[in-house]
Amino acid sequence: MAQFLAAVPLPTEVLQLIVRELDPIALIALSQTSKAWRAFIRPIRHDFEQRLLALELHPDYGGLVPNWDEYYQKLTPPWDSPEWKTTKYACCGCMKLLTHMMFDNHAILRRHWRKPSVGSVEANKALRTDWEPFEPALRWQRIQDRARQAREAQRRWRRILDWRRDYLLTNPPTNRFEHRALSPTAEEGDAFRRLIGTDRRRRRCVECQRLSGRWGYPRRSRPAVANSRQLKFQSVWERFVPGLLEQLTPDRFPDYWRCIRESSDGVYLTLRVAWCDECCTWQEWAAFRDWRLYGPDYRAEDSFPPLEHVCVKCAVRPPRDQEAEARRVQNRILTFLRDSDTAWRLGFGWRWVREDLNNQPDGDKIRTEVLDGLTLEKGRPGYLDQVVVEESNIPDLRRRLLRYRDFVYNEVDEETRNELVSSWFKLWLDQYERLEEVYFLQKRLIQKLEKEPKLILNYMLERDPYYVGRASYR
Amino acid sequence: MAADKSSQRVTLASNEGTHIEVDRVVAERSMLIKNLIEDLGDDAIESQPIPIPNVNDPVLRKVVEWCEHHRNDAQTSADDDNDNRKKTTDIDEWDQKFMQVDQEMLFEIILAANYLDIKALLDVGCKTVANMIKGKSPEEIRKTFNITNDFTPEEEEQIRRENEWAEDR
Repeated sequence: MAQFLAAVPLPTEVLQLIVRELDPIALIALSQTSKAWRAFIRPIRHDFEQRLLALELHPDYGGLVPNWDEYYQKLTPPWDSPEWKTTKYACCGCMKLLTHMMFDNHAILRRHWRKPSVGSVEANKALRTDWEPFEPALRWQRIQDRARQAREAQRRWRRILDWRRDYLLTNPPTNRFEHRALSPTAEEGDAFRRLIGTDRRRRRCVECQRLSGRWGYPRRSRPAVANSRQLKFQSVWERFVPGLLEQLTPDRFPDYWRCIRESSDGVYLTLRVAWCDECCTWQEWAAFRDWRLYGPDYRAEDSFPPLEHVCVKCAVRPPRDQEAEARRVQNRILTFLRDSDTAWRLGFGWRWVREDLNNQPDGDKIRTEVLDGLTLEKGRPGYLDQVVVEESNIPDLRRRLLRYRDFVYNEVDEETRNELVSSWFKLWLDQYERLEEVYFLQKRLIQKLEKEPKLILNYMLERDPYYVGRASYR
Repeated sequence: MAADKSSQRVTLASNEGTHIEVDRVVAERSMLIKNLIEDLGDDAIESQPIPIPNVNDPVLRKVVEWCEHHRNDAQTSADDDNDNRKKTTDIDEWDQKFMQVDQEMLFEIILAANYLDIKALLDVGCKTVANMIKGKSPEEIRKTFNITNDFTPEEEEQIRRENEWAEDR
């Protein structure tokens, strides 16, 4: 006799009612208890997809449900928050829950692919299965009918959200930096509640996209590289060898000077995941041999000499030359350290100091003390001569700067001070000691790397920081 | 002429022969009894008890207790069924306590609700069973409901493949 729930036999219509009260996760679990339940439920692919999408919203399996504010373009929690390490997304191609690093992170924030928040129409679907006691073929037909009706309804709701775009098209901003964010109306809020996450079953991980030919065929000229999240790093080299090299505490690190957005104490860099043709794994872009920042027009053959698109771990396997690869990766970091503009930034403000002291009537008092004996090099035609910044003259420059800063902040009236100290010059003047710290830090790092030529390679091989399967990066 | 409906009493007879007297409005929570009274007429129920042959005394008392508590609730028709499905899966607090009985009694109540056509009680019963299944693994469900795992090794392998969603790539 077929075994269902207990000694008390329940009629089929009651069993059907019980099954229809289950959520998609419990539906599959029940179908996996006995032959009788399996034959009764007959789960189809749609049921497994629904279970995966419900698991994605379950805090124990899918982690957090981030909130992306479309109008203010704000992500909560931000990408560098530790909650993202446990966040997983469903891929209905390979039917797995995978870390967000296995998806194009820009795509998973799209309206129809986002995780829906509690109370939205999509989130409610995870509370109750849409199982019906019909033959699989009839179920498919009904599922498709419902999907067609849902698409119609979604089209209507989308129109409600489109008015803003229409409004901006007819009333373009006067300048490209004008921000026109408006809070959503109640109707728009309702539209979001109905539209977010509606197409999650079509979301695909990078591996499924690769297999379906998004990046062409294997051994292609264009490597398989997908965008991941944008993170804030203290320095560019920190992005490539996270946690390896010495860093300064935030209170000792100077702000990066920015033209458009606010100057900040970090640099925002987008991570990318790439496919290694040799070991057949997805890894963070830093694990690869070519560290140029990847752009849409990237082509492997453009690098000179041309590099195989393999990760460094594969690139050092015999018969390849491990010593040469160690030098290559070491040189990459050294190039970042040597090409850094810290020396230029240290010398940046001196031209304004010279101009100020030469033009200000009060400047006579300290002109000799600050400017006499400065080592200068010829500037470009039409520009003032540049102050030479070298390790040997840094103490002398510091003494002169401290005198000038004391003069500006204590001996000049407020109006003149506000005129003199602004923008990047203010950052330079106020954070001069921090710039010096970075200058010396870079010198120390360069010496360290020159002394230990295999430091970077050993780090890459031993700590394997680039594996994306568990969102372990940083 | 028959007495006012609200004050009228009816007697229900369980399959063990015991009698339970209840208000007519309470008994009419059951569509089966309501239709029976309408068919037989008011006089018939005044003179003799209504037999409930499929329900024993303890279960009938539980069902009557539920009907007493929900005597003033709006009746749900079969047409509402689809709409109700869209609503919350939560169970009222009183109903949750009411359903805290052993498994056999729970299924007997469900069967009685099904037989007596008390849609709301049947819903509560099914939701309670569904809640007992939710959040459990197949093995835990088997243990809860005493289900034997009768899958062949091939079927077990198929199930293992279905549950690969969390495995690392």
